[in-house]
Amino acid sequence: MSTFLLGAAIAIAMITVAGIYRIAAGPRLFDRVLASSLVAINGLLLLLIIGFLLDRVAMFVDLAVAFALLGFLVPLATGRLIGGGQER
Amino acid sequence: MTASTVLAIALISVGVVFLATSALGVLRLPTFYARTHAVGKSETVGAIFVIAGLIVEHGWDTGTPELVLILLFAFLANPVAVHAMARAEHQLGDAPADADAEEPS
Repeated sequence: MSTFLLGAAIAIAMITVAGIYRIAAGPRLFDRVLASSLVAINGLLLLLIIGFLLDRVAMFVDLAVAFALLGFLVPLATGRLIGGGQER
Repeated sequence: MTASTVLAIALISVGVVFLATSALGVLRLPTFYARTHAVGKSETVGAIFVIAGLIVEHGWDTGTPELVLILLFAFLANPVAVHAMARAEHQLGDAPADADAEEPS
């Protein structure tokens, strides 16, 4: 199981490179923010899997909660700030 | 290898496949509104499957409700965030391309 989790973590890390490429290359602002949302969720999953690998699940679950909240805040704040926030 | 380990491996494998689909969509889809589909749907389902597999692997413990809460948070928060971004992009004046639209006159 540990080997499989390590493989899954490596796969998710390689998948995240696609999001990082879109952050670097995305033509507009919201392309970058969208890709950063993807990278945040992949980082949350990576944190959880690393917690299982190191057998420190309780600590890493708390870290993952903080990471998820921050990753949720970034696109919401950017959308409200840039988009204006009024109903149409 | 117990049954719960097999179930966990299956769930995490399915989740990683969905995550790979999402990353492929973010890389290859042409417009912003198309990429919101990749992040909003496929990424959410992949995260749910991976966390569900981790819950099965973890077993019943005091840490299990926290993992369930992370799953619920990923299920609720990610589509909301993607919708906020798509709505802000729409408010900036970038209309989504309509494939069935008539020729502009």
